[in-house]
Amino acid sequence: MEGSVIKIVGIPDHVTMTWLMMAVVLTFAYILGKNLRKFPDRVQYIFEALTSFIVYTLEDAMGSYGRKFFPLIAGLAVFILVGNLMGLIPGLAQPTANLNTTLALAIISFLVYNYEGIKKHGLVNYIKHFAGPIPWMAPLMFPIEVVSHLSRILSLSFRLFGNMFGDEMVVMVLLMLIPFLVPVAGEFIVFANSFLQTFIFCILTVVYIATAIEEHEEEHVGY
Amino acid sequence: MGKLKDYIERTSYMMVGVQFALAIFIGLAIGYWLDKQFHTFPWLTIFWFFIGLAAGFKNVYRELKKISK
Repeated sequence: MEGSVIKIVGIPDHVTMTWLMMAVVLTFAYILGKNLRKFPDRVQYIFEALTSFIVYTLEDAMGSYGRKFFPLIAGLAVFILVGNLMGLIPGLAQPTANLNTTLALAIISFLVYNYEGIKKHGLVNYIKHFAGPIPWMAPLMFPIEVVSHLSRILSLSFRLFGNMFGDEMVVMVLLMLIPFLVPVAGEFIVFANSFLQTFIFCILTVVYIATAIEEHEEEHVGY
Repeated sequence: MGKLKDYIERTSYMMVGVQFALAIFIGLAIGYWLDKQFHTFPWLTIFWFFIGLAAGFKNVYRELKKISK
């Protein structure tokens, strides 16, 4: 819990942990991909369930267009989930308990949904949507929209970072107070929260992409 | 599959509270930075604070409209 055992001089902890995680996940994925069977065994079945869950979620939010985003969302899900669960192993640290990692993930999600919005509506129309429906209020509405979009990056990254960092702190404090059996409760919080935060991060990315794509049609309904 | 869709929508409502606070802070940060650039201390900070506040309200309004639909 208290920092990682593996240290490379000059490179911060969360980067070495990310590399270790990448190595483990890539090796695991390679071995799993080599041994695919028609009648899946337990491990393969878990990953098939995960895959179909993500595909259903994407199709529910965006229709058949959503299948395109499967690699992105599945990548985010595996990265965040494994990163969070690494905190349970003594001697390893969570890469997601560092703001730099989560900020990078949030910026990826931000760039993707803006790119998709621009691709769907064209650059001029997408920017015009920022200005709002009333022409003379456009100079006021534009900064408001920009700020509200920037707040999405911050809330995505801060939620993941704060939850993971806070959970780690809870376990550390419990270890200091009662170093027998009680910290297991803290570890359970880490375990449950890992799945919850992964789910929230991925779902919010899906929701952002979906709203960026359909935003244009909403304009004619309201107001 | 309709149940999953409800679930997705409800998850996006969890954002509103945090976003309301963060929008104000982003507004303040932009205003403070601009004031440092132009050496006009209180005015741009105050202006961008209200922009951030409005952005927070706009987020809440957008989610409310989605719920009441």
